[in-house]
Amino acid sequence: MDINHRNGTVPRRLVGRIKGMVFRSHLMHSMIFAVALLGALVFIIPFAWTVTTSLKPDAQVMIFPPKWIPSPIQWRNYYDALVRLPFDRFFLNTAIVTLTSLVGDVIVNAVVAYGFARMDFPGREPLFYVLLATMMLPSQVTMIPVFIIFRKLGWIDTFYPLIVPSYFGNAFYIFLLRQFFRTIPDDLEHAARIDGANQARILWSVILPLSGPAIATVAVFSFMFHWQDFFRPLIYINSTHLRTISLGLQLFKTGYGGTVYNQMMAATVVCTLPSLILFFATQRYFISGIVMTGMKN
Amino acid sequence: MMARNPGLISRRSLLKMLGVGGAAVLVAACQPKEVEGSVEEEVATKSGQAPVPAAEEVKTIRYLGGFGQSWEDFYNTEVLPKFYDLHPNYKVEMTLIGSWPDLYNKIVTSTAGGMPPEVTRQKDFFTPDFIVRGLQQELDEYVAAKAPHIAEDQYVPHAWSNMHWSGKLVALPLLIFNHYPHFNIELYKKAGLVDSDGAPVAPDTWEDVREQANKLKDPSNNVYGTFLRDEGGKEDTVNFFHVWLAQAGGRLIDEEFSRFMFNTPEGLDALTFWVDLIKDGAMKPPGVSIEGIIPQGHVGMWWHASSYWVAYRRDNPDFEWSTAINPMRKTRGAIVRGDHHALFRQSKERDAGFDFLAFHQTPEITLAYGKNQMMIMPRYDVMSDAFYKEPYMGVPGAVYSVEFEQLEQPGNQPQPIFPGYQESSYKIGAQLILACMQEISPEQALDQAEKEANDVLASARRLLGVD
Amino acid sequence: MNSRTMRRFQGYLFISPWLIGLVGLTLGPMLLSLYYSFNEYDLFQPAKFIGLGNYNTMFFNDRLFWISMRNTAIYTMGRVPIVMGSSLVVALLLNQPIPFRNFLRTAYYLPSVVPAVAMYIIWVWLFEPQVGLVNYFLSLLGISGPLWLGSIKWAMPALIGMSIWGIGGTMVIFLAGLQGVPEHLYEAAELDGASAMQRLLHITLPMVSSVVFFNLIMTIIHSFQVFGQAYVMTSGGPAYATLTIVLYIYEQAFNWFRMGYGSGLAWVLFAVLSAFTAFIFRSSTPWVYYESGGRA
Repeated sequence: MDINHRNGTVPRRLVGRIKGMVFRSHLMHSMIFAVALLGALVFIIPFAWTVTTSLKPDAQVMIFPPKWIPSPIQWRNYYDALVRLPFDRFFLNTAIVTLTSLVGDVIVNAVVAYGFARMDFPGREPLFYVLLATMMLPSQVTMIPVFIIFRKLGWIDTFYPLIVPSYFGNAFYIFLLRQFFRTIPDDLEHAARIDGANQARILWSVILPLSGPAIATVAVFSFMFHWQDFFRPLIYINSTHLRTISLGLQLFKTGYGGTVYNQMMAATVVCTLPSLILFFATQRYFISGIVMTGMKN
Repeated sequence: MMARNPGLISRRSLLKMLGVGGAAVLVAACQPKEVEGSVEEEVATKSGQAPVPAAEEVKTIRYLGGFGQSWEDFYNTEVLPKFYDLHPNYKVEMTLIGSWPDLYNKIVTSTAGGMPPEVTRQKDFFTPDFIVRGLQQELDEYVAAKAPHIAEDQYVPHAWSNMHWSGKLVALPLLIFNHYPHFNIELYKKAGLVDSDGAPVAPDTWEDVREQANKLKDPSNNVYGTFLRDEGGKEDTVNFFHVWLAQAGGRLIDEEFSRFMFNTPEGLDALTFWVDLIKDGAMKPPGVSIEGIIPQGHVGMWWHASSYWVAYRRDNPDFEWSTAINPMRKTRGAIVRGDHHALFRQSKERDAGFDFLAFHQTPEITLAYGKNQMMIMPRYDVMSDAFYKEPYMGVPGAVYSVEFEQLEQPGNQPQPIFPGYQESSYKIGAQLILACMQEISPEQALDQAEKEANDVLASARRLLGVD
Repeated sequence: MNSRTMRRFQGYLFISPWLIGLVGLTLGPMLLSLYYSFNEYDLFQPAKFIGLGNYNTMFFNDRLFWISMRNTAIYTMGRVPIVMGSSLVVALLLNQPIPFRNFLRTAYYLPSVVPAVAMYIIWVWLFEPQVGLVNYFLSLLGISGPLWLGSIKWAMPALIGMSIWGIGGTMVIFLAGLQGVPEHLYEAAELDGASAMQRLLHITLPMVSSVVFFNLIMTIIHSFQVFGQAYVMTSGGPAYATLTIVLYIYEQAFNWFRMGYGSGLAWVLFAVLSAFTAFIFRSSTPWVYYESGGRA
C-alpha cells in the first residue's frame, strides 16, 4: 500500500514504521533521539543564556565561571534597557513599517501572482523568467541608485523607502503565490466565469478564500522580514524618533568597553518576543510555506 | 461553491488586515506631530513653565551626537530648559549614537540623503571632509550678527585656528583636551613606585615608562602595566599614536597636508616602543577585552584626558588615581584636540540651529558643560573658573592643573585637520594594530600605512580640488 | 480596441505594480548603477566620467577589494558546507519516528525566527573571550579559547561557526523534501535487503537532490551578501579580517561618499555571483533529479 506522506500524517507512518522495524531499530531510534536532543539543547542554550544574563545584577555579569542563576534577580535591567533608549518609540515605528509593508506585500503580490498564474497575455512566460531571475539579484547592485532616487524624492529619514517597495511586488512572494494558485482546480474559475464574473471578481471571490495557507505564509514571511530589517533602516533612517528596533538594538553595541551586557540582553529578549510569539502562533504556515517554496521549483 | 479551508483567511480577515494597514498608515502620518507636542510640553513642565501654546510654528533643531544617558540628562536638565526660556517655540531633538565611527557614518548618510541634522557634535578632524563638500555652514556672518561672545580673543589659539578652514569660521569649539598619563595609586604602591608621601612617581622618560610598566604588570591577576588607548584600528588609534609620535619628535603630516610624515625614525621609534612593551607583556595586547580595565584595577598607567574621571568614580567609588604630564622622549608633547559643534547648511531650521550653538557658547553654558562632562573648555573666561582649581572629588592627584600644564608644553602639536583624515586614519590604524598584534613588523606597518594613507590623501585632494 | 484584445492584455493590468517596480526599482537602478560605475560621483558635485577608472583602481590598486573578496569567499566556502551539511543531517534525524519530534523541530527552527541584530548581539556575548559561553564550554574541555571576535585569526571562523545556529530555514526545506520521497521506494529497497546506509545514499539523497540544489543556490547567494553580521559584530575588523564585499561597498558609498566606486564594486559582485550561479546550474544536470523529469 502506498502511504502518501505529502501531508505528513504522522500517526499512520509511525505505526507503520515501528511495525516494520521494531525488532532491530529501537536502539537506533534511541540513539537518533539522543543525538537530536543534544543538538536541540545546543540550539536552545543561547536563548537560556540570554535570558539569565538579562536578569543579572551588574556585578555578576562578568564573573568567571559564569553563574547560571542570577541572585538576586535584577528585573530592573528590563526597565533600564527599554527606557534608556526610547524603545517604546522603536517598537511603534517597527510596527508601523511592518504592518503597512505587510498589507502591500499581501495584496499586491496576490494580484500580480494571479496575473501570472491564471491570465494569459503575450510575453507571460518570458516575463516570468525575468521574475525568477530577479529573485537571485543581489540587492547591492541597485542599492546606491535607489538611495539616490529616494533622496531626490526627499524621502530620506522617513518611512517611505521602507514601505513603498512593498507595493511594487516581491519576486519571491509572487513566485510562491503563483505556484499555489496553479494548484487550485480550474473548474471553480470556469464556473464563476460562466456566472459572469470578471477576473478581479474571480480572484476576490474564488481564489483568495482558498488561498489561506499561501497568503498567511506571505504575511508571516513579510512580517518577519520587515520586523528585523536592519540594512534599509540603517541607510534611510537617521533621527532617533524614527528608528526601528534593529537600529535601537545596535545602539547598545558601542565601540568601547563598558558595554552593558545585562541591559543589552534584556532589550534583545524583548525585541525577540514578538517574532517568537508570532512563530508559535503560526507554526503551521511556516513549515507549509517553506514546503511550498522548496518543493515546487 | 466549496470553500476548502473555511475561515483560515476569509475575506473578512483580509478586510481586517486592510483596515489595520490603513489605520497604521494614518497613525504613521499623524505620529511625528503628536510626539513633538508631547515632548515639548514635557520639557516645558520640567522647567516649571506651563506648556506654551504653539502660537508660533515650532522649530525643531535636531542635534546629532551624544553618548549615554548622562549626556542626555545633562542637556535635559541644565541646558534645554534655559534655552527654551529664550526661545519658547524651539525644540531640540537629541540623537544618540553608539560610537565615533558610527557618528561619522551617520553624518555622511544623512547629508548624502539630503536631510542633515541642524547641529552635530563632531571631532575636529571630521570637519574638513564636510566643509570642502559645502555641507557645513560658514559661520562668520551668523557670528557677526548674533553672537558677539564668540570672538578670537576669547579662545585658546589652537582651538580657534582649528575652527577655521580657508580663513572662514566653519565650526564652534566645544571642548579641548589632550592625553596625559594617569596612574593607579594602589597598583603603584604595590609595585613600590611611590615617593615618601605615598604618591606615584611619574615616569620622566620613556625608559621610565618601560621600567614602570614592567614592574606594574601582574599576569596572574590580569594586571597590565599599560594598554593601547584605542584598539579599534580607526581614528582614535591613530590619535593615540600621534601623541607618542609628538613625544618622539615626529610629525603626522606636513604643513601643507600634501603627504604623511610618520614613516620616519621618529614614527618607528614610537611604534617599536609600543610593540616591545606588548612583547614584554607590559602592555595589554589588542583583542584581549577586560571589562572595567581601569576602575577595576587591571592597568597601572594609562593615557587620556579628564573627561573619564566621572565614569571611574561611578564604577568604583574607592578608585584613586593621580596624573602627570607626558614623559620626555624628545619632547613632552601631546596633541591638542577637541570636539566641534557644526551647523549643516542644508538643514531645515538652520537659523534656529545657530541660535542653539550660540547659546551653547555662552560662558554660562560652556562652564556647565565643562563641569558636567569633566572637560576643559577652550574659552579663557571658563578656564579660569574656580571649578578647575579644585582637585576632583577628593581623589589625591586628580587635578585639572596637570591638564593645563600639559596644554602649555612646547612640544605640543595641534590636531591637524584636513580632508581625508578619517579615511586615512582607518588605513593607518589597521596597520598599527597589525603591528601590535605582531602580525607584521613595525617597519612593514609604517611602510604600508604610509602608502595607503598617501593614496587616500591624494584622492581626497584631487577630487575636492584642494590643490 | 475590442473586448477580446482588452482581455488579452488585462493580465498586464494585474501585473502592473510589479512591472513598474521592475523598471523603477530594479532595472532602472541597475542601469543607473552601471552608469555610475564609470564615473566619480560623490553626490555634491556632478558625476565625472572616468571610463574604466574605477575598475582599474579596484583590480590593480585596491588591496582592500581583494581582501574583501577573499574574506567573502572564505565565509561562503565555510558557511555553505556547514549549513547544508548540518541542516541535511538534522532533517534526516528529525524525519525519523522519534518521540517529541515536533518539539525538536521547533527547537531547531527557533533561532531563525530571532531578529538578525538580536542574534548578532547574542553571539557577541557568547563569544566574549573572558566570560562568554563558548570559551566557558571550551574551558570545561580543557581548552583555553581564543579572543574570537578580537582575534585576526579567529574572527572569521567565529562568524562562520555561528551560522550553524541559523540552519532552521534550510532544515525545514530539507524536511519537506524528505517527506516527499515516496515510501514505496524504501519498502522495495528493504525487501531487496538494502541497509540503512544504502537506502540513504541511493534513494534519499537522489530524490532530494532538487531540494539540495535549491538550498545550495540560496545559501551561496545569501553568504555572498553577508553584511549585518560583520557590521554589527566586528565592524569589519580586527584589521580588515572580517571585511566582506558588501560591507566594503557600504563603507565606500556611505562613509566616503564614493557612489561611483561603490556602484562598480556592486557590479563586480553581481558578475561574480552570476558566474557562480550559472556554473552551478550548468553542473547540476548530472546530479539533480526533478520529479517532473525536467527543469521547472
